[in-house]
Amino acid sequence: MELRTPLGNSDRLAKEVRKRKELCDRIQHVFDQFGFEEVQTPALEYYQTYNQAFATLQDRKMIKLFDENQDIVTMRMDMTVPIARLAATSLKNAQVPLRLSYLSDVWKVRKAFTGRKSQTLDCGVELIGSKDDAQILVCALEALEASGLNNYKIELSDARLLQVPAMKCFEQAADIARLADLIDRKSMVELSEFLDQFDLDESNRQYFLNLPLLDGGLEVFKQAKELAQDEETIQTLQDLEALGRFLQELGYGDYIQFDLGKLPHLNYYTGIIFEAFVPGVSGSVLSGGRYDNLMASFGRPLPAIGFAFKIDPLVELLDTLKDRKILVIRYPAACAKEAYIMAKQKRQEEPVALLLDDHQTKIVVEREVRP
Amino acid sequence: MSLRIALTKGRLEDQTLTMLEQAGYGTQNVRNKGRALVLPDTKKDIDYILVKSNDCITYVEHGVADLGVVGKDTLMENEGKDYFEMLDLQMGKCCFIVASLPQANLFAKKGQIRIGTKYPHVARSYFLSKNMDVEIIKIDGSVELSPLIGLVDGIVDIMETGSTLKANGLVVLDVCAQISARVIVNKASWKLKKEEIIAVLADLKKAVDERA
Repeated sequence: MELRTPLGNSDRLAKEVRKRKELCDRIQHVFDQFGFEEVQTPALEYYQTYNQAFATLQDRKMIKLFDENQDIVTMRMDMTVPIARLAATSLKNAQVPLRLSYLSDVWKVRKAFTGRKSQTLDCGVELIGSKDDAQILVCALEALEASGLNNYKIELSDARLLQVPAMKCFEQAADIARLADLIDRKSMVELSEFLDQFDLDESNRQYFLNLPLLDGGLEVFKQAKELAQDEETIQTLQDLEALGRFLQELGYGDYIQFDLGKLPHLNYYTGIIFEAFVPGVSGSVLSGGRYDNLMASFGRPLPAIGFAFKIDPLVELLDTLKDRKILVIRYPAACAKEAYIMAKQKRQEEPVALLLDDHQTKIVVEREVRP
Repeated sequence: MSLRIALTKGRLEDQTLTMLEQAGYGTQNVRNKGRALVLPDTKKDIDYILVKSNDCITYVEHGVADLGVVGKDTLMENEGKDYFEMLDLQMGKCCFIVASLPQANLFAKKGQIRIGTKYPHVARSYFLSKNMDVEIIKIDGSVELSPLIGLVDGIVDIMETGSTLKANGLVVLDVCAQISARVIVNKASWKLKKEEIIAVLADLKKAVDERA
């Protein structure tokens, strides 16, 4: 007999579960204080729901099943789409803006032997029916602070910084996708080779070629505005810069930076996008952005913005938990009633476990440390 | 903050170290490594690890190495691309080629053809781009042998000088891609240790330009 967990999955033992709870409590407390309300959605969604949300769905990353009507059902791969579905259906008649939060596992297919998890825990918020970006960023910054991390950065960009100029310069969707991929991976060598294949103005070429390198503090906007070729892009840069300055005035200046070559990995993003990084974790620990078209594809056109923490990599950083002590009451069968009454009293103050032990002649009380 | 750099063993090893030395880095510990696995730079706040090419990507993707020097061939064969590819070191140059026996008529054949290769993903995406239906057979060593004894119609492989192909009577039909050593960077490291990483990239870029 072979007993094992499916690929990319693992059990979570007591200490890890406690650390998770502690971390999620800290984050969710902030969400509560910002007026968000927690909701839950099914682990399963129809494939059709996801297909409606994404122009190009990464469907090989989804775990798929069939229901009794032979419709394709998937394990939810993110929480934004299920929450948007919920907002368009169950909360159809609720007044906007909707402030929804969640703490939910999501699933993706992972390649074998890469050390990546298939089931991960997302903890996030969605603000639906509002065009306000700043309050969501402040919420993310406050939640990062509350999570107990001492060195973190939120990095901002805007999905339109590539979309708008790319649509003007390239005709084929495949070329735009290739361009986006090369900029996103800061693949400088191939980006230059790729741009050479097209008959672009030198000024446009320079914009795309420099986009991956426009990262840092508020100073990046000076160069970016010089490189930008159209009014819409200049406006996007001005808005993002103004948001950055506003967050700086509020005292978050040390925690924000910009990477204008950052691109949305989920193609429903339409405006500002952001990710948070901390030392010791490869990849981002929080990501989010504005998605103003997603709700429309579900029949309820509303602007929306949200973000989620990736709890799993953060749990490993949380070392501050104390060991847990449990009071163990060993009792022989004859003393059962006395032991149960004693346990009930002691539970007012601390965790108590009962252990039937006929080697004892009377009740024995001891403290056990559970690391 | 100190950096950890993953260097690829083997074909690129000596050339990479020479370039680092040219750029002013102290690589004596790597040159005389003995059994040590983590090798500190003698001049800078950097640790080196010497690993196989695929592992170089794995260590950088997981962020336990901040930078890696690895061949474009390995980067192309690996499907996940969770890193920034920031510099072409213009060394270790070679190319991916399609080769076959002269009489195989590979590109004119009807029906499915069979291709032997150490690089199944590279071969698959090349033939996909040509709209050709191929069966890929993974071969681990001496790929040139597989068409000679009739296992496959042609091969996709790396070619440096072409002498092995020629010695076995195989002809190059097409060049799929040019290959050279690249510097890859972990995404989170780029955000959090940017100054240090830019300094290393600038030093290496200078060494590359001096050679050109």
